[in-house]
Amino acid sequence: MAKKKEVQCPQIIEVQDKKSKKQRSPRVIKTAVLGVVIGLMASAIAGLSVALYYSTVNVRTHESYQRQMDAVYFRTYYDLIDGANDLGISLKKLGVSTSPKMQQSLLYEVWSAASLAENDLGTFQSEGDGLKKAQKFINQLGDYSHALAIRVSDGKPLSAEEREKLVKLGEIAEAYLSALEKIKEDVDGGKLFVGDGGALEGIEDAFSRFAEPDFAYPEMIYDGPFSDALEGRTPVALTGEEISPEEGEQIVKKYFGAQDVTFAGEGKGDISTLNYTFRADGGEAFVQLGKMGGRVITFNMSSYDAPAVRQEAGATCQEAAIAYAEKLGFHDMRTVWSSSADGECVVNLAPVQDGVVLYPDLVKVKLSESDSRVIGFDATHYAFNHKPRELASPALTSQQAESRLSVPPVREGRLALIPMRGTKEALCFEFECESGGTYFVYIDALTGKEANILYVIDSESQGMRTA
Amino acid sequence: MNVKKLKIFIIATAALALCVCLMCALTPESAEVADAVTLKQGSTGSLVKTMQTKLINWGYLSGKADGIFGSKTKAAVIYFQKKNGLVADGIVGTKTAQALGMSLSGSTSKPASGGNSNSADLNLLAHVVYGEARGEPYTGQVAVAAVVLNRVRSSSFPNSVAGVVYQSGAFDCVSDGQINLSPNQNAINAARDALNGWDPTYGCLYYYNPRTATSKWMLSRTVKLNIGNHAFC
Repeated sequence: MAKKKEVQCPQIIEVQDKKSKKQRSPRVIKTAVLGVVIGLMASAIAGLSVALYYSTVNVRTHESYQRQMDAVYFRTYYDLIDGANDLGISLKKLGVSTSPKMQQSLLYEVWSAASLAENDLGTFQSEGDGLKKAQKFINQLGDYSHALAIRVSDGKPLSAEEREKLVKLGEIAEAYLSALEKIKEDVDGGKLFVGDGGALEGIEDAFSRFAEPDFAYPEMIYDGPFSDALEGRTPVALTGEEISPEEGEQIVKKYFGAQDVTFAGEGKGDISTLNYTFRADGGEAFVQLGKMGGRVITFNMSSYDAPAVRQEAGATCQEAAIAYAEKLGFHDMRTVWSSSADGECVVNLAPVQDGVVLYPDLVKVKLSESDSRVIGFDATHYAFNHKPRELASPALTSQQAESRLSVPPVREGRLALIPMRGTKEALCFEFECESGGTYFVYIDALTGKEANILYVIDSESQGMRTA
Repeated sequence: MNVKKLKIFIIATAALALCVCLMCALTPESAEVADAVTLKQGSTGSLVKTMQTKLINWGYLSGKADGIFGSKTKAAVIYFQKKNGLVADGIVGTKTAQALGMSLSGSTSKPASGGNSNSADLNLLAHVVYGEARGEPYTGQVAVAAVVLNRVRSSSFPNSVAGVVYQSGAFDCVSDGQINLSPNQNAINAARDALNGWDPTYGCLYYYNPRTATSKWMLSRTVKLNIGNHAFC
């Protein structure tokens, strides 16, 4: 019995154990599931609240950026309206003014208002013809007024024709103001600029009148950079027969000694060109020949890793530049400027006629500074401007011109033809002066007046240049 | 015991999950830190080569510029520093680089902004070239810079480089932020060429990629020249 008991007991215990295990396991599972669910929910809630918090912050930031953008547009817009009003009034006054002094001051006011308006108008979009035409009108109006103001200050009052043109421009200025006011309805109605359906989208529409073919602009030909006379210029130096792409290829092979020359299409910009590429010094060189006559107009490539050879850079580069121009058929060239930056040297050459340096006909040669190898050539100015000039003989001597300077020059003056506003050129004495910096002063050789002053700026990244 | 362990485990897991969630939400986008470059023994690359070329040209170093900053180069740098009143440590930092007439701001770090206002246009143009046309042939890069400058000269566009570049909707690199990438030397050279007057497009005011362009207005314009992937008009 005792043995039986002994045997039974473990069985009972075993059964009891199994029972308790069976009773326990659902509880554990329940707790586990509950735990997981609670855990997941907790993390979901936490995650969501964090996300919600950040999205609110984001929305607020976004709104604040939008308001800042809107503020910039509103400011610009109100400035434009103010400016347009000023322009209209000044132009009206110009229509009745008879005194040159008053005319001059009003013209400067128009110029200044137009400059501001031009700046503000540029904030708005770039595509669309209406807005572009409006921009052109503003630019030309400012530029024309500036040119007239300079002329009037020279003692030549406005002609009847010029007044008439100013009145016509005044009418366009009114159309410009009313285009701006169209947007005002939107703005007054509570519209913002930025965002879907914002006032920005309506701007092109407001200026659509400017792009209509019957909208009449007077022809704007005067001495200034935005004069219509500068559009569609012809390259006067490019004469001769039209060449074929095959003939061009031979020219490129001859001048550059390259074998693998590839025709890269025609250029139909302001100068008609035949374009070629070839491999040179591990890079690709790009050459453009004038279609008329086949002259090399530009050649360019990125600088290559030049071998390090000790050099006296400046003078060697200048000689190499002149020799190169000579080889390409640009004769009687003289160095007028050279500047270097990042291992590249750019030498400006100008042709000389009867001892006069022709600045409008510049040719630029880019060389690698370490071995004076030519890596770029540009004769665009030459192509547009070069022709034999009829040069008047100077009414002043160099000494007389020099006496008009406020600072003594560092060397003797020389005669030069320089480009003036628009398409004009002036024969001048050029003097290099030093006074807390280097200046080039140009005294008109016929009138003795100061024609231009250039100041030399030296910067590491851009080299020496004048402004 | 088991239940307790399980509970602890579950709570710990939940807490961990929460932490991960919070971490994800809180971690800001890691900002790129452009560290200032210095050249020292062991440095290699085109900057070292430029520096060596300059040292060779001025007689501080003999031999060839191989682009490897070795002990001979270090001796030359120390010699140069001594001669020019600099701290002779053989390391080319900002000051020594300045004395050498070179800039250490290559593609590895941001170029110093501001500084010379004359260079602002060059800097901005180089950013546009790099952001818009870094994959284009060199002439194509010059052409993009030239288009910006042609717009500055045109009466139908703003009259400054910044005005043209930041005109609303004018350049993709402004709207997608690529204008803020640091330009490489090629882009800087191309921008400088354009500022010096090179214009392969001869007066073009627009360009587009014919494969990706969608603007009807743009596609309707007469193409005057093709360079690389860009049509200029």
